[in-house]
Amino acid sequence: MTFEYNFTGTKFLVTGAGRGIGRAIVTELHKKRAIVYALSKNSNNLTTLKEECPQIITICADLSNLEQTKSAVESIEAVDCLINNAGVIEPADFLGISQEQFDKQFNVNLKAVVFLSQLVVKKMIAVGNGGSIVNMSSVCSQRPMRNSGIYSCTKAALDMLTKTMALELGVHKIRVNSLNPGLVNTDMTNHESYQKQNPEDMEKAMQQVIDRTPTQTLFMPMSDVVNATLFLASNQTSQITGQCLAVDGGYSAN
Amino acid sequence: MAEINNFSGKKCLVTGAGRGIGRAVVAELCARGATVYAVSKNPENLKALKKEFPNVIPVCVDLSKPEEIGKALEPIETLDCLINNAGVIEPAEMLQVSAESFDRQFNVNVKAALIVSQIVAKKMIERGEGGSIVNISSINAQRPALGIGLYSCTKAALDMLTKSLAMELGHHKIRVNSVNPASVLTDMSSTESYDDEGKVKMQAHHDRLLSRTPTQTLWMPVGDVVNAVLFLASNATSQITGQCLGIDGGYLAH
Repeated sequence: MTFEYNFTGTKFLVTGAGRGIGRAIVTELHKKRAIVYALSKNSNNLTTLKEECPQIITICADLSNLEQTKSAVESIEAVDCLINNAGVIEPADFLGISQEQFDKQFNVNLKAVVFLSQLVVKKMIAVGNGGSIVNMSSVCSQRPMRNSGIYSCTKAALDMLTKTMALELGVHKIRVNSLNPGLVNTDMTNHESYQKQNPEDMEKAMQQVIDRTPTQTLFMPMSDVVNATLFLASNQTSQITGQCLAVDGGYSAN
Repeated sequence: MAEINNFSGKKCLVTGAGRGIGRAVVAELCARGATVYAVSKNPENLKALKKEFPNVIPVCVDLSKPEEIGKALEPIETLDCLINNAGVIEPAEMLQVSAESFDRQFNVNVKAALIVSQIVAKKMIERGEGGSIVNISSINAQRPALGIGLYSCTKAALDMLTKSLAMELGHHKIRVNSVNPASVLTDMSSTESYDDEGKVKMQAHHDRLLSRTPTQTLWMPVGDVVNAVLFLASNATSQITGQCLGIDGGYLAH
């Protein structure tokens, strides 16, 4: 007896849909006949995504530009689920973090989540059927990693935003949770500035992650991340809210 | 992402299977095609369970007696999944709680979970195909409540057991997680047997709980707990381990 989620006709908005985790989520939702609004700042990525998933509705908007985001999203119908997946990372050691890097990462990883969620939530409340929001956080929100600049702080703040939203929106039957993966093999973890680093240092850093991971696995499988996101977003539960669920091979549990 | 949450042919053991959450987990596992070993100390409950679910294999043992556990469980074949659900609660204020009550609650809620996990995990390791363990914990593992302070200690210990097992068994591909529900309406939370003073105290406890629960829901649906347990126990993910997932209407996030 295979168990299947029923997402037919359920409306989703997924940010950062152009590649990586977001793209994988959109692809799976499309397979499950959800109605998917796929948001990305990269029109080329959206074009190829639409070719693969013809029923999706693409939205091209740069989340670091709130006015642009507002215009792009305002006219969308109310959705059932919002996946705040878009995120950026600018590796740097603490002494090297610049103000521009600070602003850029907080703008996308936190500020955009607040203001996009406000738009989406207002419509959910108006419809009155509740809803579900999943914020894509990181194991870094609890355990910073060296040279990840201010990224870990943005994710710690995102976790607190998850709880704050859960607290205030619970009464509207809107659940808000975050997913906190360890490393996932995407463009973000192949970031060009990592390429500039000494390969020996990189290998040492990766070995340290493996050493601290009970399952001895470096990259979390994309299917883990997608399945856990779908579980939290689905109507499998009505009372899981304010939770930050790690997918990290046990990294943060030791 | 094919065939996630598939329990066909999987062998599962559930403790405290005679009633409450355990019984509901058994029911769903059976519906999904699992072979279920149902452990309970109550032969009447086991008889009724077997009547409803003829394929269940009943195992009658009192988990508060460590020397009985090995005898009852060693003969069982290697399992794919273990649900440590059996638990007891003995409300009392901290200045009144007795040493005997300490022993009773720790014996079932923590010691038995450890002993059963040892027996089951050793066979999983020998077989070499990994496995999954889910411990039924509580929000009280993080947030004690008036009158159940000692119960809260047992659940805090159980959460640490979850993480310790996750840490040590990770490289054997055995995942260990817990679910941490708020109140679930079962015999354990029923106040029928309480005297008038006890009933008044429980009412006050429920009022406090509700006032701090964002979703304004007192009783967590058993379906939520069952679905979360099965998600964590299933093959939907391979890297979620060491996690304590709250099912609490946002209580812990507030």
